[in-house]
Amino acid sequence: MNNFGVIELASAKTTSAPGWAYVPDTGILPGSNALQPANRKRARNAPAGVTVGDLTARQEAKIRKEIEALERDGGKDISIPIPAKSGKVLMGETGAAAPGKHTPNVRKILQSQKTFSNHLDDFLAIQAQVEGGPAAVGNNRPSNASSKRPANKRDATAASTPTGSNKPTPGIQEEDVTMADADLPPVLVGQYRPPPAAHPGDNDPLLASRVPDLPSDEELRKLLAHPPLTYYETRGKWEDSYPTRVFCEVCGYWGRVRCMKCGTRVCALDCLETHREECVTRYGL
Amino acid sequence: MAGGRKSKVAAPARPQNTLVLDNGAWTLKAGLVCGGSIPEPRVIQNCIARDRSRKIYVASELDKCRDFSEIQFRRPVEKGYLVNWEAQKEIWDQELFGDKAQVKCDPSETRLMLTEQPNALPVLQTNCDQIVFEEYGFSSYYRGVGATFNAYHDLQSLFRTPKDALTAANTPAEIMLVVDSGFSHTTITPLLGGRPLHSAIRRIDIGGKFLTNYMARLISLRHFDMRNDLYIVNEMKEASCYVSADFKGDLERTWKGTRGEKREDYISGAGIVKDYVLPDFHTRHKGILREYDPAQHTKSKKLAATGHSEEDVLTLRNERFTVPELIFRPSDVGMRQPGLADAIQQSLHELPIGLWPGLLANIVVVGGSSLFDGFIQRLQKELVQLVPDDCIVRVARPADPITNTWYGAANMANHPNIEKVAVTKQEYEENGSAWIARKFSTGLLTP
Repeated sequence: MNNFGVIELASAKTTSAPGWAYVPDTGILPGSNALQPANRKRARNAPAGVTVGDLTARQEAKIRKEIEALERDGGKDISIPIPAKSGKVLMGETGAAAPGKHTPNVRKILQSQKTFSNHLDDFLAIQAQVEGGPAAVGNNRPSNASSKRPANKRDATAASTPTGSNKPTPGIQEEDVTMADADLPPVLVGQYRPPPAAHPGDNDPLLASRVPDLPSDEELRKLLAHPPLTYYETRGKWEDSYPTRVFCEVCGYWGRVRCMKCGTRVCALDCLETHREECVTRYGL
Repeated sequence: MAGGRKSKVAAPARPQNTLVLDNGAWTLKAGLVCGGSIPEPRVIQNCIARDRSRKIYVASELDKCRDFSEIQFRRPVEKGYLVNWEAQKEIWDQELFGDKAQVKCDPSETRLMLTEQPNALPVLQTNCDQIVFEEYGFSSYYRGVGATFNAYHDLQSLFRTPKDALTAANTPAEIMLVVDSGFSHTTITPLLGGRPLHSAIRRIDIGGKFLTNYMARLISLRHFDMRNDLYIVNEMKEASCYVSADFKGDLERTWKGTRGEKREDYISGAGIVKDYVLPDFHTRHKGILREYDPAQHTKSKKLAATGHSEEDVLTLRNERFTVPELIFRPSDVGMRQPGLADAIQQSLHELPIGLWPGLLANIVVVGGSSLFDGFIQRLQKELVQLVPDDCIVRVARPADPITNTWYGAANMANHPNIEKVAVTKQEYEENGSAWIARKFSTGLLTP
């Protein structure tokens, strides 16, 4: 996705020195760039020399590949055919349609071999088209009002409240809704029982508990009327607030040592030796 | 929209039976609610499987399967959403409408209540609606976000809130926050009166599938290759994994040390290490988790054992808690997503602060991945650290988090609310699928 699919090779500098070293474990690892493109300006302006704490392009590609593998269902691509069913289903059919006969819609759906990611791509393409720019296809778009509107099925009745601003968009449909809601019961019923009797300590500032006021009825209605977000908008946003933890790739303990050759983290000499056997077969001496 | 609200008047009488179907990625939960009685749902694996000898099993036929090694699955539900109807129809036909189906119903006299994950793609929703009406011909239908059905429970008794005798359980619960940690992902849905607050729904793409794959990878690196035996790994995960309350400490205790002599905790197992005896599908069909016995693992014993012992034993050390840890720290594998507690906080930040106390005091965790020991304790602990001091954080897990959504939906089937949201076949034929999609996404209009 990023860099138009061109993967930068690690520089020769890292491969030249064999052995191992303790590395200072400061700084936040940028993680996998390709999943959510990082700020390109920041990457450009970063000091060039300190590559020790950063992941190489090779490592990032590795992480990305590993996560993709983890998200897959089943070990490899498998295609299990539907068992031959000639007589069985036709006889047991109770539905309205005649057995074996589908409406055109149903036939199209049943024959579709699209996967979820195909559907998702389609959806993003439609969305980008509606918004009139290819820029909106990215995973991590800023949440503005227009991108809240999935392409093909939203109606203004449900969809005219953006999250950011609480001002309703002026429009006929919006008025319709508010008028319909005008004399309805409140969304949240307040208290069930009367508050306890007054107590002399009630006004003591030390004892006072501050409970934020419930939002107004209008505000709640607006929240409830909010249209569903799209698939990517609901994904939790990554915040660089904590340093990422790194683990030994051999035994799973903290990754305190880095292999000088390939950058893999290991915990100590024991695991490093295990790792180097593999490292040598892969990258040579 | 205009004609939608009142057109119910002329509609035929509501069907007596409701087929409640929680169509999950791993299992589907189905049961027929007749009148007021709620039966126990059938929990069926939602898959078509092929074993090593290339025999194919559809859904509940899997019970007859004797050899789960290298078994492969095809699932109609992908990433939580119903995608492949070819496979799903085959499973439904067999389990719900076939001759031998245990939950048997006649669609033309039945209402269908179907759950879905939030934020589905519109095209998939439309596909689903079309199949339900055009292929099966259900007389009435409601498709709702799975998490919302959890509001139709007596929430306060789950939290053991002391209450006056007078206040009966009022459903749907006024305010709650549902965390649904399933096979495909983990979602966070704040509910107000049984309706989702869409702007605050959040998702982490980590669920049971991801954890199983991760565990398979760890074991394949450290022991032997099990990447094709995900079914067995999943059983192992369910039996052995727990969410650590003290991750650093547990990791320290399971570390073998640098070079040379092993650390004492490593040798003794420190109460964390367990042995898992793998099934061989001849004498043993289920794996067994047992306490780690250091005496069994000395070199001489091992040599002696290879002669006669038939057991394949895996020693699980930090795999037991680093695997579920991913739900709380996806960044441990380099995934750029927040942990569960952080995601809940992000969800709360979308909402006015006045709702926070209510949501935080009523967090319900459902879904199969919440069954790990220590899950709710850990979530509670992390949340308390994140939210304002004044907020009480209560996290509860119902007795059976897997069927809780189904029971909630069954309760809703007997609740007057369902009449407001369900759509009849007649309405579908008159108004089309786009109208239905809009009606379902609006949900309950007013409380």
